[in-house]
Amino acid sequence: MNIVALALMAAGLFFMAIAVIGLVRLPDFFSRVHAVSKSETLGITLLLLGLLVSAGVSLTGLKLALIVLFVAISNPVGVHVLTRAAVRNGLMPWRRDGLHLASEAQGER
Amino acid sequence: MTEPHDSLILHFIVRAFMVPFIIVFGIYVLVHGEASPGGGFQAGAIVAAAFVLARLTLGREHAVNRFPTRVLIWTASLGMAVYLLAGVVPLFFGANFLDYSQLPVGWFNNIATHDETLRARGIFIVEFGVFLAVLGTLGILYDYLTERYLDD
Repeated sequence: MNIVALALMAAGLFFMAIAVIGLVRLPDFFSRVHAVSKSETLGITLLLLGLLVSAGVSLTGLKLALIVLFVAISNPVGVHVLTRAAVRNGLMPWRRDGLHLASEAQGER
Repeated sequence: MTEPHDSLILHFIVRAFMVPFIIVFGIYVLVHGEASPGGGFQAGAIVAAAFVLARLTLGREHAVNRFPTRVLIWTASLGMAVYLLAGVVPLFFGANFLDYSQLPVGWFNNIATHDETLRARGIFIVEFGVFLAVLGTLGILYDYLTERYLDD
């Protein structure tokens, strides 16, 4: 039981570390948001599942399960809204040759 | 800006999932405040967060027409009145200000099964007043700061 909880929490921390590295290293808004939404949702879900396993069947476990549910639904939806707003306002995805800057200037509204 | 957000996903999640659950959780924090972290102020802030979320995403028809600013002002005033009365009423029963043990709410014990003292009931009444006051005040703050929904 304890081993399983620790393994889940370690996996969650791994994914959250990946998310943070992505947030720092990736070049533009879309890829950063991509790193944060997927990897961090998985990371925090695994972390909370580890806590859930160590809490067992109790009121605390129920609360943790609800937190998992809420985070797993609201985090992607928040990123969806952010990305949608960025696309609507004409933000272009990053390109290695810098063309996104040109098309952004061209398509400026 | 008073239109609802046009994302169907956001609309569905907020209406069917986020707002109802946040309100239920706020009421849980209110009534469970003695046994776990929480209380009137926190519950009011949580429910007000649900109101603000609805106002941000759902637009006038689904969020504001049900709880216009007018109603929020009444809510805040009612909360003030409730906890002021919980303090003043014991004065007329020969007790000190805010002496809950002398509140005339003994009939409460007939409808509730838990064996709690009158003092705990008085504290809950004050908590409920704080809940309403904080809920109304935070909603009013949002409405006045954004000035979106004031014209009705």
